[in-house]
Amino acid sequence: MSITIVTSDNEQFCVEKLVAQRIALIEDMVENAGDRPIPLPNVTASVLRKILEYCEHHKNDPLPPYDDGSRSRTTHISEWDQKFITVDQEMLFEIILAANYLEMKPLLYVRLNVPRVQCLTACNAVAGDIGCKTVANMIKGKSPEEIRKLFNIVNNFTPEEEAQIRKEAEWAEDR
Amino acid sequence: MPISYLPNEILAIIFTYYILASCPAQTLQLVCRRWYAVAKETPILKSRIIYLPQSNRRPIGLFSEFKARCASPLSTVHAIEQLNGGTFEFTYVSLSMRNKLEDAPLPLESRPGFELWATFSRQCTKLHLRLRNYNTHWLYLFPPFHALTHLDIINPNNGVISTMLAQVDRGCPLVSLTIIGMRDAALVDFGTILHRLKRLYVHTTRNTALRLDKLLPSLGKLEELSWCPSLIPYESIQGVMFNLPKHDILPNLTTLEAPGSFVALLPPFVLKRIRRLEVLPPSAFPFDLGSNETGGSLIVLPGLVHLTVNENEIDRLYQINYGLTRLRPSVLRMTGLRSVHILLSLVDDSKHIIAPFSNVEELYVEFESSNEAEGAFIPALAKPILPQLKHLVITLPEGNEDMVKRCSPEIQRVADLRVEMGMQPLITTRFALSIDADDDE
Repeated sequence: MSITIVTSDNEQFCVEKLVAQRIALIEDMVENAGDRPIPLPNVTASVLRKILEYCEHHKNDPLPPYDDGSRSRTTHISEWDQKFITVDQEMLFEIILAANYLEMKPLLYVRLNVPRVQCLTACNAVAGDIGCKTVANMIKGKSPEEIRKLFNIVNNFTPEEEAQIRKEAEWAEDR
Repeated sequence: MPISYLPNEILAIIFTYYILASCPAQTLQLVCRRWYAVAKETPILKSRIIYLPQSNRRPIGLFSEFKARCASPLSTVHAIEQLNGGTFEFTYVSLSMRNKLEDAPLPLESRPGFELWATFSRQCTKLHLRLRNYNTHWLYLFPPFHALTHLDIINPNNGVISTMLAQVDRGCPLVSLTIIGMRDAALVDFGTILHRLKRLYVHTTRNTALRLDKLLPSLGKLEELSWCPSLIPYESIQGVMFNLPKHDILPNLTTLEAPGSFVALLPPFVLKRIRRLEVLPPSAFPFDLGSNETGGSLIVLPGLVHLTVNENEIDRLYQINYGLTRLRPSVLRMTGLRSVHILLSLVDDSKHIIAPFSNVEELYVEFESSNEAEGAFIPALAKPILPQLKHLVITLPEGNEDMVKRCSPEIQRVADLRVEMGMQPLITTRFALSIDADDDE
């Protein structure tokens, strides 16, 4: 069984329902839409294509356990995910935003009948994981100036404010 | 799509992963004002603090779990989420106590075989004690500290300072000591601690007479001094300054926060090294009547870079013709301004050959009323004043969001005019509200 999704630039995607159900937002809309196409006004075709590629690849992954503190919290990214997320900066941020909007989640929660609130906690982390880890890896080891240059961020501190922050940091940093 | 499109909660996730990779939090805070604000609100960046509930609500076994989780900074991070919500803050390297901890004394945990506090005293490098009442007998059970570099004691009652300093006075590499609300003079008895200090912040609440002849020679390494006494012992300071050898009086001091009357009493060989000065109230004597070596002549701070004065002090300085002083800050901060006319009068003196504002590159003004800023101060900036000004931050009372938006075009117009007049271009022109919610993001 498949469903039709319409992106913000009016492209239609025919998606296997099992795959689409990994995306919480779509799952909710399927229930109300019946056989009608599901509109995604905040997601473009190029971004949805990437997201569906991710869902398809991970559709048989086991559900990450509810966040009991044991979940790995490193910036490690698997080889496939690494290749998947090797995109330009603009696409990277669009994927992160779209994943957040779509409340992406692992497919297995449907099969395991995990309570929705519990599942979403785990799934939101999954949705943010790869993109956010990638951005974290991009800024790792860089100075504030290098980060500004990388993301084209304007330094809107005055010199005095900058000096004050360096001073404030003393209590927070080990030394 | 730029990174600025990402909402704060996603930035916070990115920051969390960044910190988990053992990267320095300070880097994130220094990127821009938005990143700074988000980093401040990201739980993992809150100094790796664990919150422990008070003893009577403390779950059984919590401390053993806590000990295990404190094995490394990373595992401490996990503990943050599980122990959230108490009144007792503990970080891997620092401890901060506040609220009702006085009702949750240590003896419960200091029974034989319980090693938490011994472990803590070996590892703790920064300790912040905020005391709220007199029931602080538990403090006497603190073990000696070995690694403490920073110690803050807020509102100590009699005996607390001696007790705590005794536990530190065994080779701790203490460099920073803050005592707010000091009621006794025990501090001067700990010469070995004072000798190591680079920073000392002492604010007394009543007529605590510190023996300056004992204190000052002990502060040979001190770089920053914040001294806010309730009483300025004018005669005794003069005597001490006269009798002590020059090299014994604050030889490394570069940052000073003190009442103007105290500053005025410092000899020129101390003042010449001051780079940062904050003039605190009360000011019992005019700022320029110092009994320095030149016999009561004007204070000279040739190395001054940062000057902070509050409204009362500005008024006082104005009355004695501030334009004739020799202060030349390049960073000037003025807080609690009730009337902009004082400030503008000072600025108008910039025609004077030794005008105090001629070198100002950064100006931070905090108004108590938005009318003064909008009606007088901003239009005045279109005059040829403050020629070196590059950064201007105007802070207004909370509730002036509309005015902030209304004034932005006027600020831009003023900035353009200044460039046309050949003055330094304004790099930063920003309004802030006293609740710290800036409008430029």
